[in-house]
Amino acid sequence: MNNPSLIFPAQDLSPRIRATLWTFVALGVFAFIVSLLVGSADRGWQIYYVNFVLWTAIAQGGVVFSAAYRMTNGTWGEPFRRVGEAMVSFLPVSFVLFIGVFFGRESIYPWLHEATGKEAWLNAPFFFARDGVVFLYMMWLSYKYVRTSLRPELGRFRGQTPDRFRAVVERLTSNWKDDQQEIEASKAKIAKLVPALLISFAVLYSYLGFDLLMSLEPRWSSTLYGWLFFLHGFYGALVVITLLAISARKVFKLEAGFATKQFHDLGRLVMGFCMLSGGFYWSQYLVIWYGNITEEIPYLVMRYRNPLWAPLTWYYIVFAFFFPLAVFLSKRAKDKPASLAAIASIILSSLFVERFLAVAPFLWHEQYLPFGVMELAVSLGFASGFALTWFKFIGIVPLTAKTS
Amino acid sequence: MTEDYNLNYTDTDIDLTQSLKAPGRGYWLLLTFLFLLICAGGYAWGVQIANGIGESGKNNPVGWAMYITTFVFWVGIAHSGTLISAILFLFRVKWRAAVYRSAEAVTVFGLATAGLFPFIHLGRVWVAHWILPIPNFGGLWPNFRSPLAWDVLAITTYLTASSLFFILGMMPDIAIVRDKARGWRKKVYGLLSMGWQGSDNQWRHYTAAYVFLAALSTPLVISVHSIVSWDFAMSVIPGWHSTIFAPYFVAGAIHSGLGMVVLLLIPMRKAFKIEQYITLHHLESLAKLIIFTALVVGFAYSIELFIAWYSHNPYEQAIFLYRMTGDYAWAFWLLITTNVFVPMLLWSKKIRTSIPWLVGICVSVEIGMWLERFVIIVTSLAHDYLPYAWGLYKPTLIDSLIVIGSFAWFFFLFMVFSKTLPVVSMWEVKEQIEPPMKSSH
Repeated sequence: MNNPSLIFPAQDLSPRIRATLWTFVALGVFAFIVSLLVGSADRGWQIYYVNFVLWTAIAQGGVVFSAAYRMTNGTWGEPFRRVGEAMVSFLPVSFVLFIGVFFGRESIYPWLHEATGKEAWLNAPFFFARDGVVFLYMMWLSYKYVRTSLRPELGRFRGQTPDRFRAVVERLTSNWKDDQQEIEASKAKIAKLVPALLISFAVLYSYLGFDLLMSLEPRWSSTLYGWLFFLHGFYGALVVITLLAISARKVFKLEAGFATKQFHDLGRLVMGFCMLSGGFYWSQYLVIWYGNITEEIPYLVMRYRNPLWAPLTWYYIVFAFFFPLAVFLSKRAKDKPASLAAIASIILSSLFVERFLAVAPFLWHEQYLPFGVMELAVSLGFASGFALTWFKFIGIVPLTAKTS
Repeated sequence: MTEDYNLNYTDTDIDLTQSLKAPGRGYWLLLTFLFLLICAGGYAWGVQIANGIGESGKNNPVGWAMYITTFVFWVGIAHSGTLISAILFLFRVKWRAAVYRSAEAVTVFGLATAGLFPFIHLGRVWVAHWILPIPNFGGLWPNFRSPLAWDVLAITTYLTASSLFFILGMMPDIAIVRDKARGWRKKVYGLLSMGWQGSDNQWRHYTAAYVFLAALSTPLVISVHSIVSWDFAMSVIPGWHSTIFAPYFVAGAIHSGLGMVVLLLIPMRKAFKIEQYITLHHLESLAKLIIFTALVVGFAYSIELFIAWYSHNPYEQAIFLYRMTGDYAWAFWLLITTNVFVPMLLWSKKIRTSIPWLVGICVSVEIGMWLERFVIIVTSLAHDYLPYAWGLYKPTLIDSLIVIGSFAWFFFLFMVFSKTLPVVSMWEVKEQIEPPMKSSH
């Protein structure tokens, strides 16, 4: 590496990988459209919604990771900060997907068909208006933060910018003053944007949790559900940052940019959030189980006693909490990117299952599991779309750029 | 290396052992005053034991009142130590070095104070051993499905782990004091330092044990106040049965604990002339954490209100309406103001670096956090499902003296600690000082 303070991707995403990802996206779209056409619209919208909620929270969590890293004056994992920031690129897609939800609302939200007594809050115009504003605001704030974060790093090294990035770098660093002034200005802006982003995420994503998922069971409520929702988003973001960093390291041959020690620390952070999420989940479970009251207990009975959903619940509990906790006690598991990637993939699958369990049980009334080829294709399409937006962003700005 | 300190190793040893010198008249006067308050609290407890629990203001339906409020308050206070010691240690936050010893002392003494209240609350304290899980003649056996039994286990485990952490963290410093002490003090400090010589081998084991205890304490601290919160949340009383209680109690506990640490550090750094060790930067860092915890608790209050409205549960709605407009509305609004709005002043750098402002805001936080528990406990019991069963609580002189005595007891313990053991970690401060190299002189 000639300049350790600025590491550009060694190459663009190879055409083969890009084509593969696009193929998955196309297959996902195709499967979803087919489901609408052949009379399985409920299943189609169900899996669409599961993936929308999962990947939106993860994308936002990635940007928030970067903000939290700055807030805590972190120095341990600079390369991962940009990995998280790059997830901002999925937020516009996510907003478009939210507009899509409007068209599938009849299949998704039971409160549109039954009297819940909560019409003042749960009515379609107010619901879509307020959540739409939330998504737009979070997208605007996230882009503003990422742009401010990128500017001094890009500007200071703009002379070294490879041709393919030049246009974007010029735009992001327009009206550039001298280096010191820019750094100071950026620091001042970041100092305001970071708390704004963290507070907005915690508050607004808690309320999104109530709206997007808790409202699917309109007679049930849990005060902790909002915190659990954004915490899961953040936990998922850490897992996806791990996977994307390992992929980028391999694809772009950036072994020198990501040290073993840094992966070790990231592994510890994932373990910490695994314990925290587990603690939150347990806190919610225990209070409901112990209270055993009619308005709450069906939520648990459905997920723990129903043979259709119970295995999925246990899959989630084992692989989101117990398994990572056990394997991350090993130093080697955290040090080796390969093992870290395997563990992160398993956790991600369990978080997918958690979202599936949050959506499906109260919407699906048949005696078989609503997960087949169509659901698999749609889910792979979403994951590939997420990866494509991320690699696109990383193709424009440096993957790691540290003003040392 | 940090920019905070411009000191050398020798000065550090001298400065930070100054606090162990013979105390002045002011110290003894304050200690005597605290002792008298403890005696007053002890007397009140004696009256309660002699005449019965009716001496306190507890009644039917408000069977849990100031004692449990104060118990939860002190357990909460005890949370700052582990946050500063263990969690910030795991996050490699350097500024903790100057303040963690006092925070750990707050933990141990907070638990020692909280531990009194279950006995005070019992009434017939002479049969307290009945709650132990030992077979006895009456065939009594604790109900292990009760969160109260979990409390006993959680708090004693936490007390054990935090005491170990406290003692372990002090060992190298006590050895320095031992080497300077004479007579009986040398023997006592020799015993406490457990033969510490500072060899490579000892340091290797020491650092490994420290990391291990830090990792063990972190989930423990979260579990303890979660379990305390479940004393309430497991029941189906409106205003108590809430899934958010565990994390929200933990955040509140840390909130009050941080406030108490700041309140103790400010006079201590002045009295012992250690302002260059416990700097304004340290206090400011603690103030920033207080902003964070204030936001968390404030957000939790708003969620509780929102879900009470959203749930469409008439009992939940009624209790929150009662809290805001009923007999204890003054306490509710005061807690919201002191706990959430007043700490928001700390966003201003000018305020969070001003000692008088910091003291005022931290006192406000302590009042707010005590009132928070009071409002949760008393309003829900005073105003549950049946209007026929409603009733109010009014504290008596006995409750009040016992609560005041508990504060005196806590501060008394802390004052004794501050004159007998090093209040700032010398070895960790030294880690942040430029090593004594030939070229640097």
